[in-house]
Parts: sequence; structure tokens; C-alpha cells
Amino acid sequence: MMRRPVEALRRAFTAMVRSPYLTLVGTGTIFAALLSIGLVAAALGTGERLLHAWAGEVRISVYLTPGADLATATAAVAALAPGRTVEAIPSAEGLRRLALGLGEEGKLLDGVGPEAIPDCVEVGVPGIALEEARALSARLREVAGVADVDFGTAWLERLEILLRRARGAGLALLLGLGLATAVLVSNTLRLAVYARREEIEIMKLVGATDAFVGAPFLLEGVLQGGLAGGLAAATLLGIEAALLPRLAALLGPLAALPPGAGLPPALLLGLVGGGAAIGLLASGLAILRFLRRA
Amino acid sequence: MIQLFHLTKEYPGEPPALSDLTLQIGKGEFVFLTGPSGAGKTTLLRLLSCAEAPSSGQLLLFGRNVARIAAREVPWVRRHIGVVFQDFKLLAERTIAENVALPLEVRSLPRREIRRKVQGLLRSVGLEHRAEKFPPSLSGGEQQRVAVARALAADPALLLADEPTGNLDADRTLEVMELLAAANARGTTVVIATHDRSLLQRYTRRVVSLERGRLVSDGGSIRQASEHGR
Repeated sequence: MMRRPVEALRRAFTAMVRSPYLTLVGTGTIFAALLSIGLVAAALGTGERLLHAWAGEVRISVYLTPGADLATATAAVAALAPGRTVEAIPSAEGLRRLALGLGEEGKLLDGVGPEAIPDCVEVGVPGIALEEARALSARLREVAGVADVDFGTAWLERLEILLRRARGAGLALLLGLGLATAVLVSNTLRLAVYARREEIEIMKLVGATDAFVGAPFLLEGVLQGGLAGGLAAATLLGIEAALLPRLAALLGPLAALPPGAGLPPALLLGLVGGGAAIGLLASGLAILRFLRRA
Repeated sequence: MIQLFHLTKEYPGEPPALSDLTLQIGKGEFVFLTGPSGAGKTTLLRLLSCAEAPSSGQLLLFGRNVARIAAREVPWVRRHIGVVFQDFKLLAERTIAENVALPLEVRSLPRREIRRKVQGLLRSVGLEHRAEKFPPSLSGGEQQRVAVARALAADPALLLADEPTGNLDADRTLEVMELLAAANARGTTVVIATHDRSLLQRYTRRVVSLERGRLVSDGGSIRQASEHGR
């Protein structure tokens, strides 16, 4: 039972070795297409991760109305943000931190009393998504004695809008690339099948079934696609290794992405699996069309 | 073995390639199909190899109506048929042994058995020493002997040859014809399409003449064939 698949695999390997140019063109086409898709996907993924890394710095400040009880408000905030770091900051401490944050300019606050700024409760929300931060802020605004809630991320929101648009454009681009890849790879593999039409005709003439003729072509498609996907994944890893240190240097500690952050294993495996699937599908379509005519 | 009843084959916009052809070829016969270019010889061979279906009439092959053979069954019918072409139709990038092995690979025979059979076949056509060469390095006569070996590899009941000596000189023609005659002597039914009159004179076998798709003469053994057919 095992002989036929093994034999088909042997014939697929032999055909690839005997037609190195066709193999190279097929693999190269899938590689180029997958690399383009991988680059776009990796750029989008890296952007998303950078946004999340920056969003991880978010601290929500809950300002209280004059006369509100800080301890009560802190307890209410803690109840609404379970698992988060909640810190009560009396106005005097707030003023001290503000002066500290201003550095030399802090002297400007000399003579300003603590009543100038309200008591505040700070909520540390590392790793929170902006949508969640917004929702939490809305809930905190409802706490009795709260005057205002600020999570100081207007710039981050603008970045998120930009990224959302980029994500939309990227997805459209990925879709277009995917379609172009399917057409390009299908046509390339159809040419490869056409180049071997005589072999197919003779095999059919000596009694080969469609399955016997088609199986090695399908396996070739899978092998070429898988190989191209592997090469595309390796190339992306190389590009990442070269670019990540420069990106980190450019963006500072905020962009301290761990290695592979832009290239999750799912993307790399997806390229290999996707390549194999594209190869299988394209060669399947190509051989099917040819066998129908033969 | 082969029975044709009022067989017609038409292609759109052209006069019939075969018209109202009734013919029977018995098991073990050696038949020449002859006639000028366009007589319908190749069309008839294509119908016999199940490469095409008749437009009308009946073609019975091994007792089965070709028009009713499902597409998925055609490969199994073809495994009983060997075909030889004027232009050899060998695969240039495969060795001689690999070309001969094709019909056996298709049957998924074990590799050892394929090797053994191929050696025997190449020995029978005098090309054992060329097994690992590629077709372009062989002469026309040698290539046609390889093609005959491939056609006979699976011991077919029927051997169809379309102008098998058309590209060969007199000596090589004789070699190839002897191989076909030997196959016939072993029981294979042989049908050869040719317009080479010298072949018809040298081999006194049944001659079926076609012209413009019609049967114009049948050289004698049709009665014998009918007896086989019953």
C-alpha cells in the first residue's frame, strides 16, 4: 500500500532534479510572492506590537473633586480595576512629583500650594489595549468624587488610527498579493505542466490513470511551495536580525521588542504551510486542466 | 478482437475522416492499414487506442463498446494496447531503460521486476548495452526499436503502429518489422498503418485499404476475422 505514495514521491523528486529550470522558476515565483506577503504581514505585526509596547506604558490618572475622600475613591477605583496597580496620590505628593518631573523648571512651582492640584488615584495598566483603557476610564469616571480621568495618550490614539488605516490597507494589499500569487503561481506551474505535456500524453497512452499522472505534479507543487515558504521565512528572519537592532536604536527603549516579535512562529509556519498549500492548489489546477484536455 | 460497424468519425467543418467503416480484425492477426495521406489510417488507430470516440457507428474492442467505456476505465483498456509511432515518442530526458519501463511503472510493478523485464525487452531488441543512454544519442532505427520494446513491455493483446518505419532506411525498416512480426508470432494482434508499398509486398499479410475515410479493399482474411469475432 505504501509503495505508490513513495513511488510518486520518488517520481516527483526525479522530475524536479531533471527539470532544474522549471523547478527554480516555480519555487522562485512562490518564494517572491510569499516574501512579499511575509514582509507586509511582518511590518503590520511589528507595528501592532510596537503599539502594544507603547500602550503598556499607559497609566490612568483619576483626579478627584476638592473635598472628595481619597481613601474611599481609591477603594472604589481598586474595585473597578481588579488586578491593576492602584496608588493614591495626595495633592502634596502630586505637586512634589510634578516639580520633580519638571526638573530645573520645577522652581516655577515654588510658592504654589498643594491645593493647586487635586488629589489623584493612579492606575497602572501595563499591556492594556487602548480600547480597554478607554472603557476602564469611562467606568472610573462614574466613581463618586471623580472630577476627571486622563490617560494622556492622545498621541497614541492618533498612532492607533494611523495603524488601523495601515492595517486596512495592509489587509487589502495582502488580499491583492494573495490573488496575484495564486494567478502567478498557477500560470507558472501550468507552464511547467505544459512543458511536460509529451510525457503526460505518453503516460496516458500506456495506461496511466489520472491519479498516477497527477500525483507527482501535486507533490512537486507541495515540495516547491514548502521549500519556497521555508526560504521566505528564513529570509524574513535574516531581514529581522539585520533591522531589529537598528529599529531599537531608532525608537529607544519603548521599542524594546524581543527577538522574533515581528515574526511570530505562526507567521513563519504559515509561510511554509501556505507555500505548500499554494503549490498544491496551483499544481492541482494546472494538472487538472491539462488532464481534462488530454 | 476488433469489430467496427458503420463507424464514422467527423470533425467540425471537415469532411468525415472515417465514413461508414465496417471491419473485423481477429485475435492474432497481422493487418496492414494502407492508403494515401488523409485516408483515415491515423484516425482509425486513434479510435482503436481510445484516444478519441467515434461520431457514430460502433467500435468493439476486446468485446467492449468503446463509446460506452467510462473515462476512468480507459487507462485499463489501454494497458492491453501497445502503440508505436513514426516519430518514436520517446522521452528525451529519460534513459532508454526508463522509457521502456513506463508501461510497467504505470502498473505499479515492483522495481526489481521492472528492471528484470526491461533487461529482457532490451535484450530482445538488441539494445541491452544502450540501457543507460538517452534517446537523442541513438539512431532512428535504434529509437524505433526502443519504442517497440516499450509497446511490448506489458505483453499487450493488441499492438498498433502508425507508420513505424516512416523515418527509417531499408535495413532499419526490416529490423523493426521483424520485431513486430515476432510479437505477432507470440500471439499479439498487430495493426500497422503504412503507405510503404514495399512493406506490403515483402510481408504477405492482410491489407486493408482506406481512401477518404472509406474502406476500398480488404486483402482477404476478413472471413477468418469474422470467424474469430463470433
